[in-house]
Amino acid sequence: MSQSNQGPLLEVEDLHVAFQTPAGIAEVVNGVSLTIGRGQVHGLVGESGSGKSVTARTVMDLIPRRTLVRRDGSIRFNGEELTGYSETQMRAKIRGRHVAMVFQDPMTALNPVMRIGHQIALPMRRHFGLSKKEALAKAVDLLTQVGIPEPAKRLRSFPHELSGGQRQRVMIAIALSCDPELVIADEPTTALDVTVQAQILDLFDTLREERDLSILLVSHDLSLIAERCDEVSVMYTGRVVETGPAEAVFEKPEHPYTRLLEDARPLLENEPHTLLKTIPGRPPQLTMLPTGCAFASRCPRADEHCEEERPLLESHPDGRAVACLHPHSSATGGAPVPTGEKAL
Amino acid sequence: MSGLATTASAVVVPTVGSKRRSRRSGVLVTLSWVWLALLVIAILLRPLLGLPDPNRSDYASIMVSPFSPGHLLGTDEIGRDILSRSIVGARVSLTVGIGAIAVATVVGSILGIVAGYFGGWVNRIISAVIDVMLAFPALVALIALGVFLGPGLFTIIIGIGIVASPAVARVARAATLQFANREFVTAARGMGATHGRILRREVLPNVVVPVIAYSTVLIAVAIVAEAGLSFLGLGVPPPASSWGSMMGTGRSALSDAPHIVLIPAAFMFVTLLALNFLAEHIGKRFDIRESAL
Repeated sequence: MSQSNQGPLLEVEDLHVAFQTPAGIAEVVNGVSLTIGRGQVHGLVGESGSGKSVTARTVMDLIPRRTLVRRDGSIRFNGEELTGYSETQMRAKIRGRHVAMVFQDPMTALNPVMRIGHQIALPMRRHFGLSKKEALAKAVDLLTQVGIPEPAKRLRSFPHELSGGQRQRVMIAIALSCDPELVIADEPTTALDVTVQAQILDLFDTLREERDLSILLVSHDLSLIAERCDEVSVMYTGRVVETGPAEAVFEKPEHPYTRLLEDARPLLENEPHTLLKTIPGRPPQLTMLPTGCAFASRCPRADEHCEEERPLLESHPDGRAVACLHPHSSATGGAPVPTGEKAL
Repeated sequence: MSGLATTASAVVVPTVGSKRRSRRSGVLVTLSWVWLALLVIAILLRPLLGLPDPNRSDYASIMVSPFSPGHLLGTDEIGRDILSRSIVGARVSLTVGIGAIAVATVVGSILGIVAGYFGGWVNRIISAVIDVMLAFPALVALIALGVFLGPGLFTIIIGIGIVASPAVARVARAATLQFANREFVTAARGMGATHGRILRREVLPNVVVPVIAYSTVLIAVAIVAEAGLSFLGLGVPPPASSWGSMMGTGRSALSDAPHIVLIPAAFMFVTLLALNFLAEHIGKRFDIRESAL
């Protein structure tokens, strides 16, 4: 798959995913489009249930089929359409080989009864046909690269013998073992404490420079995304509401949801004991999404128009796209209240 | 497990935790191993022990009580040495217990893991088969099998193995369901692993622990089942002895010479007790590993 080295590495277009649930059909992903360039870090933010993890896992076709009722749209990797790939093709050509995944909780994402050396070696044996010995030798290199001391000794450790941060480093070593072009990191630092978080993210930065790696970083942590990503997409109820260069999006959010999310962050400058701002209300049920803008019921800028018409992503001159009828740059806010006030 | 302190230390260094098990259960576990080891040694070295032939009748001493000269544990109603016969019976019991449960563990694990991992219609079919097998009266199945295959050790092992396999399958299925949705299975899939590899390398090693703990209990059940069959005369054909057949034939002389029944019964009792202690011990070790995750 080394052809077509121009163009973006991953293009997701109009992705829809829906599940059968006891309450009806839950539309978890509703027309998500993403583009990840080579060597880029693309952040995917949103609250729980906004569809970010499902989007990430759909790219690798890791969604359980049993309750899946809809999965369409286009996923192009290196210009090649993945949605037509069979399970066998995905296994042999994509998973672990060109696209690898790092999971949220390294406590559960490593097999508790297998030595970590073997867990790192297995993908290489599978994809490159290396012998056990060759793969283990490479595993030592990988552990060195991800910053694990005494790597040769560590090969024989079981996951429970490592700290949380070390386990996540092992996960990253596994992900990198077959030299993928894209790493999908699904909340890679949520289960770790803050100092370890920073170390792991620094490691991602280093690896990305060394290997020209592209990363899809899924997180609900805005600060993390703002700091570490080139591009960002903000998701709400399975839709991208705002996307663009991370700096532009976070410095001057256009979508009211992005703005409110930012305002809800705890900041060190705040006086002690000031209440954190929240966004009132809750996201609509995924089984009965409104016809209009899904955020309208919670939005301070919404008017009756928003209830009826669903805004589409519209490109702005500064390279971002926003799905809102009344973005902050427009004067036509239903009620031009400064954001955040309504929250109190 | 004596309490939180032991669990906590087990979480940090499991190997140390398993050594710090409370002393009393430690002694029982040791005694259990010692008893089973003694049985195995006696079975292997019986020809060297200078005991009388287990099938030869000593007409000079019929139904003598234990501690008689030449017959440490006495003789039965036709003068055969009870110690000697009990040791031969132990061989039958342990062979059947371990052999049948090995069959049950292999068959049951495969069924349970496949059902639990693939789910859907595979699960429905296998679960239905398991339910039918559990509902079928085991004794009838064993008698029928004895008719088809002819009586003998092999028949009993296969028969009890098949009858016990649905129970193992249930445990294996439950454990598989618990592990198949863990993130590490998805992670393995995400790295390009095939179903076969996931079953062998990711699911099986995790499922083996609870299955083995349960199978140890089943060994005791299989020994009882074999004794029951032999008691009914459906076990290993005479003159070969088994604890069950010894109790079965000695029953008529129970009031005159109770030791003929009580000695094989005591052998069986202590063996079952030892197996149960060991099963419990293995089960506890499994708990520790779970909490350490």
